[in-house]
Formats: sequence, structure tokens, C-alpha cells
Amino acid sequence: MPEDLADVYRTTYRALVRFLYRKVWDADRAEDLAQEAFARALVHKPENARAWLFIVAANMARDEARRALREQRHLRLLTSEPAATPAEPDEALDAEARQARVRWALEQLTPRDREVLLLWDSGTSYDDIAAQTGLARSAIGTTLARARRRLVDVHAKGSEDEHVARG
Amino acid sequence: MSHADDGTLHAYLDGELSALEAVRLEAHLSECADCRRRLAEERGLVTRAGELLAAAVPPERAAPPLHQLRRPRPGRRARFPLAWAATLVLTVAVAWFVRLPHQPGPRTRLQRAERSIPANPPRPDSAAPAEEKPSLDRDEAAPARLTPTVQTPPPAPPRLGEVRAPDAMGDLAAARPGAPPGASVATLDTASRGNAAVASRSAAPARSQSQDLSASPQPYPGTISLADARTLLGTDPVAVPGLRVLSIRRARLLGYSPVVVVEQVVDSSVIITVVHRRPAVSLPAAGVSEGAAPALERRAETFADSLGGLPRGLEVDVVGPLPPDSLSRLRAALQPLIRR
Repeated sequence: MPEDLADVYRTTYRALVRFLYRKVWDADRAEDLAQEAFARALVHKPENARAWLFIVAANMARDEARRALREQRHLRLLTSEPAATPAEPDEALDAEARQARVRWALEQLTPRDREVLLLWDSGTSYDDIAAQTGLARSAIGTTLARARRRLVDVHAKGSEDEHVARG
Repeated sequence: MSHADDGTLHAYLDGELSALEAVRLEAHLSECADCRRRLAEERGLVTRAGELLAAAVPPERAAPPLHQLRRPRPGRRARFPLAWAATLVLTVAVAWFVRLPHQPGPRTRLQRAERSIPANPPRPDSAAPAEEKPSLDRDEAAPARLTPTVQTPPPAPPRLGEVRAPDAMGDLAAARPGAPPGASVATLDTASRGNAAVASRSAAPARSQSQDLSASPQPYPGTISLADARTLLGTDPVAVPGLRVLSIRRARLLGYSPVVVVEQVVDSSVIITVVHRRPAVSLPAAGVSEGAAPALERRAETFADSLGGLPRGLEVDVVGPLPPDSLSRLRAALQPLIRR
């Protein structure tokens, strides 16, 4: 019997938004995509709704990234001058900077390692990660070990460099 | 059991080892200090990675009720079919560059248009349906009227000079004989017309409406006023007549002179950006265009060909999905710019 989608929605919506957010890096867009995925699930009534949702979401994010890449071709030519934004509280800036560093560190991972790490962090089981990524289940632990190490190392290295650069 | 590999340790820490595997590992750990030490290390790594990821989370916002997703809300409905029709996604650029460094004509004309403002207060929009606004009736850019779905914005607060399009155009038409001949004149005439439309809108309030547009990129920083744009370019920024203006921004083409980017709405799913660059006096215009972005130029030619020959002097970028009906709408809007 298919799971009750309402339950899945309650337990998985935030995780799906978070998963998407770390791919598109836009909170509104991530929510839109998550809601779209659930709207599709309402129509398709998949058997394993949670796993299905993450597959659909991953595909959406991939399409999104391609679109962003196309746009970048133009944006790179048109490097806007920074706007004179009102001063933000240090706290907000700190959080933003922290997030930017994590984002950067995540981008240093291979796509597959990153995918596995983000899926795991969204509460996806090894079985489902294996099914979604096509990796052997026995390879998930190794992949996660590599991804975590790289994330932590690269992040630490980046922060170090920054301190050096700041003097 | 031989020493545990990293994958096994992580699977163990993640609670993803089978019961049998877990028992075996624990048996090994009880007699292998080395693996115990490594387990502690890996535990630190798992914790640290989790902490880092926790720093990259979107703001917590309540989920809308599930039943609301059954019928996608208006504004979103149009988004997704378009957004996901990846094959429809085109990024087209039309690049051409103003050959003459300065065109005194348009500026003079716009000044005249501005002078006409006090004598011609805005008429109430309610007097006519959006697509038959009097502002377009006298516009010789008749095809611009083929954009009926462009949302009529609420009256904007007076800013940038509330120029009503017909008034501005009347003045512009009257002033035309003074302008030098050539293709660039047509462009700049149109630019001025478009600019009248720019002037009738305030960029700031329009921004909120852009959220409903699937193709809307994050707003660029650097939004400027129309007056600033004029100062920057030495003339009026070019806009496609009849299309609602979302914003005017300052940008810089790397290594070259400043440009003004006017963002305009074709319909609920398509935004275009019109890029107007001040010609670099020190460099031959053709050299600039080829050197700056040969790929852009090539794409530009293709798109221009598809439109049946655009004049040169302006760059139009379509960002995001461009379904056929939007394309025809855009063509119609660009029609006045085409000189055959």
C-alpha cells in the first residue's frame, strides 16, 4: 500500500527543501521545487514516495543548474557593480560568510560524493542512496567517508587561506 | 576480522551496518586499539561534517498545506511547465552596437519630452483596458500592442519623471527631422520611445512582481535611476517599446565601457534584458564587439536573422524559457526596431 503522502509531506518536506537548497542556493527556489515535487507526487502516487521525491528533486536541481549555467554565460560578461547595500548586522554577515564557505567546500567535492553526502544529510538511508545513485550499497560508507573528509579538509584549508590572506 | 576500513566505520557510525556486521566490528574494536582510535577520529569527522552542513540551511519557513499543492497557485502554474520544458529554454542574445559615439538627437528629444510632463498629467489607467491603453494608440510602434498579456502595473509613484508614452512620443516624432540619418537613428528613436515607457514606470515597485516570473534571475545589484543611466551613456538607455520595464541597472562589460541594462517583461514567464553600451571611443566599434564576445555576436546574428534583420546597436538577452508564443510576442515587440 502506498504510504500516506500527507505523512511523507510532514516528515520530509523540510529535508527536501534543505536538499534542494544546497543545490540551488536559493531558499525560495528550493521551496518552489520541493512543492512542485510533492505536487507531482500527488499525481503520480509513487510507491516509495520519499525516495521518489528525492529522485525527482535531484533531477529538478540538475535542470536548474543547467539553466543557471546558461545564464551565467551572459552574466559573466555583465559583471554588475556591487550595490550600495545598507549595513547588515555582523551576525547576519557572519552566517552568510559561514554558509558561503560551506557552499564553496561542497563544490570542491565530486558530484557523486556530494550527492551521496547531501542525500544522507537529508535523512536518506544507505539503501535508498544506493538505489538513487546506482552505487553498490557497500560503497556508500566509503563514499560518505571520503566526502566528509574532503568537506572538512577543504573547509579548514579555505578558512586557513582566508586568515592568511587577511593577514 | 582484519582492520576495519573507513567505509565500514562510517556505516557503523551511521547505524547502517547490519546487526551481524556490527557485532563483528565491535568484536574487532574490543581488541584493536588502532581501530578504536580511528573510530574516534571518524566520529569527529562525521560530527564536523554535520556541523558544516548545518551552517548551510535555508531559513525555516512553514510548509504550505499539502492540499494547496493540488492546485498550484496562480503564478506558479505557469512556471513549472515552462521551467521544466528544458528543450524550450533558449538563451538568445542580440548584440549590436551603436556605431556613433554620441547622438545629440535623442537627448534633446527626451528633454523636450520631460518638459511636457507638467502639462500632461497621467491619465487614469481605468479609462481603458490594459492592452488598449491610449499610451499605445498613437505609438507608431503598432506591433508593440501585440503584447496584451503584459501585466499593467499599478500606477507607480512619481519617479524618474512620470512621462506618459504618447506625450513623449509626440514630441519625439516632432523632433525627429533634426536627427542624422542612418540605422542608428532608427535605433535611437526607438530607444527614446522605449525610454518613455521606462520613464512611466518606477523600477523599484516593479521588482516585487518579478517574483512570479520563472525566468527571473536574482535581481542584479546596481539598480540606478533613469537620470543616472542617461549620465552614464550620454544618451537614453534603449528599451523595447511596449514592454514593461522591471529595472534599470548599471553593469560593466569586462574591460570595456559601462553599460546600462534594462530588464523588461515580455509576458508572465519571460524577461528580457536590453543591454546598452556606450561606444568606446578609443576602440573601433566593430573591434569591440568582436573582441568582447564573439560567441555572443554569433548568436546575435542567428537571432537577428530569425527576426528578419535587426538593426545594429543594441543587445537583447532572453533569460530563461522562451515558449513559442512568448517568442512571437517578443518578435512583435521588436518589430519597430527592425529596419528593412
